[in-house]
Amino acid sequence: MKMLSALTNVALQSLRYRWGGVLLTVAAVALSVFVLLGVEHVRQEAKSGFASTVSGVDLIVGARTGEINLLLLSIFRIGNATTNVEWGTVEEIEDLEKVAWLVPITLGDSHKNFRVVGTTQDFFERYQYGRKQPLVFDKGSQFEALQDVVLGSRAATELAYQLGDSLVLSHGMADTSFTHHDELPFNVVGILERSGTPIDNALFVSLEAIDAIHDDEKGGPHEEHEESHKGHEDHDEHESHDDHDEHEAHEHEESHKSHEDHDEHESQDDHDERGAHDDHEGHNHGPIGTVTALLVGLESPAFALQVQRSINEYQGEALLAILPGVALAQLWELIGGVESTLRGISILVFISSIFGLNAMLLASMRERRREVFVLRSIGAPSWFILALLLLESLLIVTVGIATALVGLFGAIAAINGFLADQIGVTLSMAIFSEASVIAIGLIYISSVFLSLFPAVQAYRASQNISWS
Amino acid sequence: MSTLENTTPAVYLSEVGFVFDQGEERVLEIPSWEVARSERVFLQGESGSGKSTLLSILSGMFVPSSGQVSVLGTELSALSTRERDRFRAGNIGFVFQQFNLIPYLSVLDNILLAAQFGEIADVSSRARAEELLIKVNLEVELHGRPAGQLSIGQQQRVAIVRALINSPELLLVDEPTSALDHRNRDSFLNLLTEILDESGCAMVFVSHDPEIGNYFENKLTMLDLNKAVKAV
Repeated sequence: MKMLSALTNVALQSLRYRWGGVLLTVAAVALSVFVLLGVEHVRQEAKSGFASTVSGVDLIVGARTGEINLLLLSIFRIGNATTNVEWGTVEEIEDLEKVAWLVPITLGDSHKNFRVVGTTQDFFERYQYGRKQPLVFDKGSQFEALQDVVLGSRAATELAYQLGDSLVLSHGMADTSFTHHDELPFNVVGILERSGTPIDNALFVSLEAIDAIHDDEKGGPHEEHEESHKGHEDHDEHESHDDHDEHEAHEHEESHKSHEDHDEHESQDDHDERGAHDDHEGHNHGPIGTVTALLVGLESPAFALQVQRSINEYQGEALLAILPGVALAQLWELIGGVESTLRGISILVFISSIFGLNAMLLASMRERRREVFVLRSIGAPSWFILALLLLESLLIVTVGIATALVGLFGAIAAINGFLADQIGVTLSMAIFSEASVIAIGLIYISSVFLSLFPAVQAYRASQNISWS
Repeated sequence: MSTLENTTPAVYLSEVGFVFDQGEERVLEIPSWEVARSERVFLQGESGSGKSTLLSILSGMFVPSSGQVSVLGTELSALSTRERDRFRAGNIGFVFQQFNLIPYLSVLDNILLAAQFGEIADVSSRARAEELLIKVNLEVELHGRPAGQLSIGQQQRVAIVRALINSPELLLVDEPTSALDHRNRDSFLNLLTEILDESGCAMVFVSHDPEIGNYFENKLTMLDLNKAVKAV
């Protein structure tokens, strides 16, 4: 015990004496461990974050595109829809035997860089994340009237909105859109609790509100637009329907007819309105009377493949139904390649830093020959010299790891704001996962293993050291 | 490792030969040599005369290629490496030319580390070290200072204390005054003599400088001792 205490004292004093080289070595080790643990933590967080972004949704349906594109658009709100889904199709899907519920969403507008999601009230009841956690209101409640808007937690925090505040939506996602829907200001009626998902970065309004703010684009009478969404409201079973849809009495089919009449085109792709849309800066929501995607819940998840196939084979328009879990796994595989490469690079960086540590120890051995001789002459056994070198490298690695952990905590705190802004996901501070603890253990083992080389050299030298 | 009876010589060599590698020429060839208990011997020799090799053998760092080496009644070649380390720590004190101390350890830590290896370290070791440091005129405020920050003269005095902390019966001293001026050299040698008078410890003092032999009654040269050395 006394010998161990003496050994520790000598090792600590020795490192302090060589503080310049030691500091650089600690920095190199800390940086490499930071990269290694950081990559591991981001990987774990990204994986669990992606997997928990949506739950309880059996299918996501959109116009035919890539599976990952549809997932990114509908859940992460990344990218834009090339085509939308006709409202008639939405109704047909809803009527399918195995479909229990359906929530349409439509994208295309924004407010100060936060995306606006047009949806129904069902969204707040049906959408779940994590382990089937429902969305919870921090303040207020879901939208009821046409000009009501619900804010995600981060959107509310960043924009400093409170209940009752008024805001105006803008066309598209451009940072500085010049096209604002000034004619229809919205009132904040609800603010959601933080979910750690892209929900936090969005504003939610009714589908009717989306149609209303694009009424001017139709170029037709206001009545036509509002009629077009009678079907929406029927679907929503909106209680306040009568309050804001004073121009009802047309059937849904008629609303589509009115679209087609207005467009004077048979094909949706040739839709005049779309042409008009494309002229808008950054504006990419679909034609009025269509939606971007559908979140679908089934009577039982067992029907998922069957319903998926029937939707994918739908003749009315080109549709794609995806299983969120499978698409998330595919997305993860895509990112996983990058993550594996990063992990490989970080391991190489770590190994190079350990080689640097060994180089420092080896170089110091040249100047420490006299010190080894003095130690040996006063009776230090050769194992003391070996243990001294090993302990010194362990102390360097320990300080390096501690510095890396402190740095990692700081970096996570610093980067979380940026991540939440960009992708609506934040990293947790819980960096001690099973994988990271194993990584730290492996770092220690590899450090000891690689430090054996200079330590054994010192051991041998101490055995052959002579007076001269 | 305790020493045997005090009647046995401090150093006894018989037919000792040493080669660094098989087939090479012998660097040391001593037919017979004895240093009595409490005897102080001055051994003068030029560079390459085998002084360092002899001290390495006497301290148990080297094992002779042939012959018998007995220190304080203990046959060194019969001991294992670890046993020789322990024997050295407990029974032999060392003072070198310079770089005697671990520069980053404090004066006291340097001394107490030697006590640790000598397996005599206890609560009284610190008090004894401080007492000895005062005896060699090292100011108290220097006791906690890193050894590397002391002057060469001060370091040599600390080295004496470290050499004596385990109450050794043999002191091996190698050119301790070569880095000192005349005044400091005299002061150092007087101090050493004074302390050895008190401790009764045997000493082998090695130097290339024949002038230092004036401080000793018993003196010989490596040329006399080592038959492997050819007179130039």
